[in-house]
Amino acid sequence: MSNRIDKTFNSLRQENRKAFIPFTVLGYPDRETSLTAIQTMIDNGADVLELGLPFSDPMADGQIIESASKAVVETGFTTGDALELIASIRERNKNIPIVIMSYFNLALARGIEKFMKDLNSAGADGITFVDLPPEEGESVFTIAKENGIAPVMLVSPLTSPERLTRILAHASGYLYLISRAGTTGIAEKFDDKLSTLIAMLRSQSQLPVCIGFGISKPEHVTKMLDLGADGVVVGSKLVEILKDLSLPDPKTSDVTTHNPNARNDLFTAAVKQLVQATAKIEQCTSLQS
Amino acid sequence: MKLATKFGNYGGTFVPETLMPALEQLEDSFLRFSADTDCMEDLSQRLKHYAGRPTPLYYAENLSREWGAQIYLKREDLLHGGAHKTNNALGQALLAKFMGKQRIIAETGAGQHGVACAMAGAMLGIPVEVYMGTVDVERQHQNVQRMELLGARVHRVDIGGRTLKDAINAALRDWVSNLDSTHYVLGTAAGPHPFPTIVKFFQSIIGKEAKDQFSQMTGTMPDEVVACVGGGSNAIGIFSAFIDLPEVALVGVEPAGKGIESTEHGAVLQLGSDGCLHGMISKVLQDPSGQIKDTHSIAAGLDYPSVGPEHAHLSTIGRATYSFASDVEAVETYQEVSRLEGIIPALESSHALAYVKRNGHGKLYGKRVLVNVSGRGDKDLERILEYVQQNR
Ligand SMILES: Cc1ncc(COP(=O)(O)O)c(C=O)c1O
Repeated sequence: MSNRIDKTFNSLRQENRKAFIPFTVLGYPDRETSLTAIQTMIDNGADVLELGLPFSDPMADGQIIESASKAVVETGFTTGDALELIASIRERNKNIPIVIMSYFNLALARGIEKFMKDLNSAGADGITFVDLPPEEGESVFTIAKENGIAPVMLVSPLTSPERLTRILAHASGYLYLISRAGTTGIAEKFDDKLSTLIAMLRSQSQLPVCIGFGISKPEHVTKMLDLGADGVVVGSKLVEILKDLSLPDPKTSDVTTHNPNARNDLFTAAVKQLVQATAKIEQCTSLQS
Repeated sequence: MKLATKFGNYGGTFVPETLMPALEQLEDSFLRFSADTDCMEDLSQRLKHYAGRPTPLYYAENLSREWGAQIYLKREDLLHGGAHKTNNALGQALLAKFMGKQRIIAETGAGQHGVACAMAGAMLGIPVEVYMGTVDVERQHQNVQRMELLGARVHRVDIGGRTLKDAINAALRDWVSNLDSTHYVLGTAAGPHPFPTIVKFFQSIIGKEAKDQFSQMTGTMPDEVVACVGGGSNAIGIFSAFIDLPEVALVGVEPAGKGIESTEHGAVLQLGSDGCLHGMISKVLQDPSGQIKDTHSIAAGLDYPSVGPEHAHLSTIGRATYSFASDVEAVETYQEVSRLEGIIPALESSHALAYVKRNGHGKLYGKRVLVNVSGRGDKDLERILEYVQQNR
């Protein structure tokens, strides 16, 4: 078992633990803060990282991640910059799996093979393309695997059993189950068929199932893990807190009221709280077994 | 999918997994709808009695004398609502009803598609919500007022370039969150399959009529068919009847904005490269990393960084060629056509006409040229006066 994603989920399983998977947008709100935030996530108990490669037109994202992505793109941030950030995270953290979330055009523009090779050299382990269903992605997913990058596939509450078979033909690492038909964000609405969906996934695949979209509070984490998920992805909530962590723009904000330390503490506290919520489930399940 | 999802290498369904079942359902419903004779009869009756089809073909004698080519205008500006958009909006609104949807959403640039959806929604009793960039809300505010008068709700999209691209993003987000109740009436022959095919189906009536009318009026076929290209719906609509006639040249005209050497244009087929945006592979204006560029055109309906996939294909195989016209040319043409012919063309359509004006004494001299006047220009009057004031 060589790759970090499989290793991580295997040891989580052995220890009867669930995965806490924070998401943020690479380079947001600026490179330094982004690196610090990601390290904070890791130091406070992230099991897997999902890092968004910002795209100018993120049609599957809600307002928080959309604005964050646009803000980063507008600074002239390139895929090359993102690769450097990934490499410096990897340098300090040898074992944590890093899964990149992206829109297909960024891979297309770089050349699929080069994109995958570069991700691999930077130290990434997996890729999720938000807008590349199995119908369009076959050769792309093959190239990813050939280059040591696991296609982490999205499954939606609307995915039919036939479509699931097509998705599973490519899926690797874990399955990312979307909590509701909609965009990312912090709206508190989850599909009420989630437990049926998890059962369907379990019956057709051995891969761990992680749920994301809309999960923003410890209660949500608890709920998803109670439903039987192997992990949770939390994105918009964290990105929202990061929004104010960058240096203030002297033109638009009152510098004296800006207190980056306080925001930093808030961020750390949010990560800790979510990690604790993830850990609680571990205790419950280990008591049962 | 049952139909081909691509035109050569272009098109496809590059969408989030959640949308895939909706696209499959849409294709399936569209196939049943378009094969149902009652549905087709209903559409055709409404197009005739409500929307005013067929629209005339008009030989523009004065323009022909002045510009050098023999110019025939397909008068989509006379369609109810003031643009070709009604063909598609009416068709898709009926399709939405056929699918049992209770709500329609749409994006709009120039506001014409929004108006057309608002009209169709009012007539069929379906609530309509329209997404529009704030830049477009401002420059086409008369159409915002029309939409609201017709009972539609207009959402102002205030992110990105605040134009058509951003409105499509917002509409896609709404759709993916409300798939059960809502049909997204995409307004141009772009986006993921089956939209380019559906929109072409509803717009191909322009070509069918024009071909018959042209043949009746002249006993021949045009040498060249010209249309402006935003997403490409009016162009594919009129091209469709002539694609199989190799002797008829097809020319699409894109917005050169402040000049194609500048960074402010929307000349996607001239200067774009293969990319993926809004669910399709097509030509896209993008930076080397693949980030989509902001575009500019004085015509809101042409201000879009990609183009329908069939145009990318027709361009690649050389069946159609694509030229361009600048803001300045479009404005001059708008004024000249108004004075010479008593027809006020939309700024979008003025791009197609500007290309004919530029080439009338050159390669088009004496040629039979069929131009699609995709819409009327009342909506642009204020903007033109402002532009003339600023550039005097
Ligand atoms: C009058 C008119 N012509 C043309 C267009 C461009 O769209 P398309 O390329 O889909 O015909 C628009 C779009 O708003 C329009 O309003």
